[in-house]
Amino acid sequence: MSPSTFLIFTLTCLGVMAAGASERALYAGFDKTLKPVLLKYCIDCHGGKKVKGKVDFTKIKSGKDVADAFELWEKVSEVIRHQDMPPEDEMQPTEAQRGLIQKWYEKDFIARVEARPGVFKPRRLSAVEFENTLASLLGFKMVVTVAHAEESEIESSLIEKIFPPDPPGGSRFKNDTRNTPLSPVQWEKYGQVVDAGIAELFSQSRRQQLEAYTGPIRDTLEIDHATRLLKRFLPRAYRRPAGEPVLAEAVKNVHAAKDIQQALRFEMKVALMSPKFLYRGFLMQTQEYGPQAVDSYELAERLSYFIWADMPDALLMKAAAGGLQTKERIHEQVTRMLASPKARMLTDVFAKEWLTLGEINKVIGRNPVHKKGITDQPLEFMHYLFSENRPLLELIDSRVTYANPQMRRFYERQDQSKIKNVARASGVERAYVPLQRITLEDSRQRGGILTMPGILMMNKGPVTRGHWMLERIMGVHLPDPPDDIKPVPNNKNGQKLSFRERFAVHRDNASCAVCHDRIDPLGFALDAYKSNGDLIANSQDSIDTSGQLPSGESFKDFPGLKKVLITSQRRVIIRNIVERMLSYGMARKLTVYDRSTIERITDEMEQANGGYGDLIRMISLSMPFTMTIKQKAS
Amino acid sequence: MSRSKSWLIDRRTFLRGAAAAVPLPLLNIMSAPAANLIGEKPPVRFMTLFKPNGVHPPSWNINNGTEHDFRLAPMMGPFAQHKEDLLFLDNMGDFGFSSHSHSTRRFLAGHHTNTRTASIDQMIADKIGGDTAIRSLELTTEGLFVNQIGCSYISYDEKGQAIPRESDPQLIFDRVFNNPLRRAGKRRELQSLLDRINDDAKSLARRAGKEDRETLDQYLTAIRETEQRLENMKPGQELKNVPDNLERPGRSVNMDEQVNAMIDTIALALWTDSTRCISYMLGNSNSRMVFDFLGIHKQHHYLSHFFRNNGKGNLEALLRITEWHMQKFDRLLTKMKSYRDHHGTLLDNSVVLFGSGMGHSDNHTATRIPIVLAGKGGGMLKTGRYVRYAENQQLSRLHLALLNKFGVDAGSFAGNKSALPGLDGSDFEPYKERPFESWVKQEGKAIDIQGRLRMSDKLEETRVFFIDVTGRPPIRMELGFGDFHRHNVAYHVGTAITIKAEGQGVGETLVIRKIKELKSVLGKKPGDAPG
Repeated sequence: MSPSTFLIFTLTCLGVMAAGASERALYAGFDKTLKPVLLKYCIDCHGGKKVKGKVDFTKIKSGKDVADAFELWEKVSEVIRHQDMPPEDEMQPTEAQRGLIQKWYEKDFIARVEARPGVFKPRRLSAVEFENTLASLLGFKMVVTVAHAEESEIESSLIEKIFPPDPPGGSRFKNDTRNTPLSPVQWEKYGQVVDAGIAELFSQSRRQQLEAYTGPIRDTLEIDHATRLLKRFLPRAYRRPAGEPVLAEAVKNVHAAKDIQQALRFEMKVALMSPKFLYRGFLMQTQEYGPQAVDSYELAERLSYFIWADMPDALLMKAAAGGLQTKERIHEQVTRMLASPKARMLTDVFAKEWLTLGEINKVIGRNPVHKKGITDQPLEFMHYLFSENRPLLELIDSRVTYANPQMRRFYERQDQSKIKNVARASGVERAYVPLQRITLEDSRQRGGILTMPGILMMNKGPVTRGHWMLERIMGVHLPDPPDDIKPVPNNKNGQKLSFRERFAVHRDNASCAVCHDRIDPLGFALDAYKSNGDLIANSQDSIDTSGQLPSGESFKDFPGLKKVLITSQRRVIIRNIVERMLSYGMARKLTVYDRSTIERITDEMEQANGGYGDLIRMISLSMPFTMTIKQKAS
Repeated sequence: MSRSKSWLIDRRTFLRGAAAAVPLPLLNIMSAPAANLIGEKPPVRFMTLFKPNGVHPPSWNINNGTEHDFRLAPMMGPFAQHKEDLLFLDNMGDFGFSSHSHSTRRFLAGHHTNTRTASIDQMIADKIGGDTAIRSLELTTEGLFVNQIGCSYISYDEKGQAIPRESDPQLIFDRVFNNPLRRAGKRRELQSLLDRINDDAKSLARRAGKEDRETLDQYLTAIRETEQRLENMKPGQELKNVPDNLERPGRSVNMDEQVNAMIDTIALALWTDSTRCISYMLGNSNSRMVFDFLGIHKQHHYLSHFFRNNGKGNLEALLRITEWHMQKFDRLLTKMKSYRDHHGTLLDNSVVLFGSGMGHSDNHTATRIPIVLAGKGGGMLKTGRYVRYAENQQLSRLHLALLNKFGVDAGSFAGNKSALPGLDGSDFEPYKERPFESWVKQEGKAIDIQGRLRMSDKLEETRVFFIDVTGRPPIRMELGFGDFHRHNVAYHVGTAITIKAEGQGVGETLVIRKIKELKSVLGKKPGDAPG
């Protein structure tokens, strides 16, 4: 495909938005087909007398409301399909009515909502992005000085230490900062870090990094040095050409100053405290308002913050300067970027947030030497999947894992012997042994992320485990449980019921069952694993791990469930991975307008059994990633 | 350099030095912050320096000394120059043994069971820190031992909860001196930064679409609040008389640099009266730090068990690490003396508490805990003395005495109702050793000696000892590992022994290289002699 045809291809995908007309049609369809059913069967609990689960159908009053409520319709379609709603003890719609709802959702709603890119909004760099960007810009990482022994816990990143943590945005990822405005406290922290960074750049120990900007300095910093620095530094800070007037002003200010170094440092601080540095997007070149392909530098930034959580490097900037809007050039850059060590950020940021891997450290033991292996295992595994382009479903079904001698007890004999001992240095009392990659032979109950000790320890109990699996792996988001639930009853005198049996009574309530029918089979399937991650020996006789998914598949133990997950639930899981990755890559919540992109990528990944690298490439080339909509100022 | 002349070094000299990024020279005595010069009494500061992993008693304990006539132990060499500013307390501690975490709590909270009240540094800070910019600083060197949390903290709040510690000298420097709201020069810079960024934002707004403008407005709102705070600055919050060009400490490449930078920042923070109360840990109480910058690659805690982990070079390495700790104590004192404060030095108007929470680092005895006070505390303490109490004194008695001296109204502390006497020269009951005779009997190569055993002052000579005998030069013993070990020689250091040995005169000195028999004079078995 030539550059120009690619551009035409993306523009065709976009379609033309005739919002007014399509929204009117959307509402007409809703009014005719869906509304009568909702009024008859649903409104009592969802907008009439009560508003259960925050679902209120009376709020839908226009075509725009219908379009914006796409998540609701997705859920409606799902619960109707699964016969989860209305609850069993309520009046049920007929089979024909159920079919009508499905048809409306797929034909009237989804088909009418055309694909379009997200509305452009500048986004502040997340703490991690700010940290990486500053490090790339200065040539060194800002760290906290603290001597430490192997077993001590330290925060070595200055930014991690002093910044308030980013809250996750609407996308549930922390890089989605659009809706968390900058606070004055945070602005001061930026100032503190920027001051420290500039001071360090001008210290003796960072001479090399400074000279990378100024050229060799013999004795003192001269005006030529300062000029050179500004010409190189400002475009890098802004991630695009700085513009002649901006550059000229900075150079002029330094020229006019008595103390060159002081003035230069101040100019750098102005640049680093400016929204042009702290945010992405203020400088994007747009031709006019409306949908359009993003400019080359914006695309470069999108790629680098997606794959590296960092600013573009010199090669990517060069590619951007030469025009990046062809499939081949994007492809070439993505392949190069995935091979870089910086792509580890996909693991340390994306995978960590997606699978809540940061939580493991908080809930397991206290000895850092012991817990490091358990905490790092899923991270190393995810990095393996990402960096070696492993098929998406290996997330839950893989023979490769990472372990150290302290984790031997989780594996069977043959696999235990694959984990090598490492001798401690003399005079060292506690030391961490790095994880080793092994291919599992006889530990059949351990392959994939779901049965890694850290994951099992993080999620204690069947409900938490089931809920996590549903939400993180299958992409199903359930409403919060009602506030007034009673605890699961204890065994009365003489009773010898298992938790599962007692729980069955407890949840035997229609409004509980809606969610628990989905959560429980997943969670109880893991009951053969203790909350310390150990597998209970010969559990098949003593523990009931069988279950049936609402979609009908039944299994008798966890390996059985795993088989269901990688066969009949395969598409559901692939789709979730596509959604999560796309949402992180775009740093925003997905909307109904992304739907066709998701389906298209899911199709391709499913058919080709694509790997994580393939997915990243596809996302990088997708319409939402390469295009935007610029709105007029009102 | 005569002291009276060095007072005259003015602040301009200091500023030139700072601007050129030269670290503050030691013994650079400068004029005091003006606020301190106006007639009134200077504030007294309370500084705590904690040493991890107890001590190796043979090299640390002072023996055979009286209040005004005593010989410093070999390990005290690094800070010997400050002898007149020091008050050595001996026979401090508890009977029995102590875990690391118990010893850590004991250091400033008196006893390991005292877990519901503040440590004394915090009680003193409440009393004296009210009108300073920063109430107190809690500092450390080493990362947190989350699995042995009690070993990581000496400062506790009024509920007995551990107070988070800070380890980066640059961060502390920034907190104390670089807050733009508190220094005039920094405020001017901030104002011009805000002006420039406002201009920047205006030029962006001209080309912005709807969504850009919203985001820009959010950014400008955050800036406006900072501008407001700048305008509303109360003059009282300003750090007065702090030179504008104070140089921020550089990035430390190893622990030595980190601790030096921290000590320099501590002295500066105390001198500028930014804070009056600082606690600083040279490591967690069971520090596992590796001193690779000293060429030592074994962990400190491992080496501190010098019997259990006896091995080639281990004791030498431990003593080298301990000596480094003593050098840091010396640096702190030297720094504090280099600042003029009122009519004396900063040290004169401070109380520095140096020590550990346990005595013997290998067997964890809680008796004879190393405790040294430094500085006169504006007259609170009478220094230049060695105070060895007749009976073991719990640290809480010392704590109560210090609280009282700082004017904290406390009738008791950690269960103790009576304050430790003797700190200000008041009467105390001194330790009395049973007298013994000392003599040398020589017949050819065979020598019998009775006298007091001590370690060589040269710390690298771990198997060289001296026996002090009244009326003659000390007898030198240079032992092989076999004799050193078989007779458990180090164990008897400080006490009277009788030995049968082989030796010969080397010049004036009698030198022994082989021991046939070693007996304790006052103790029944080896090692149970008092002291």
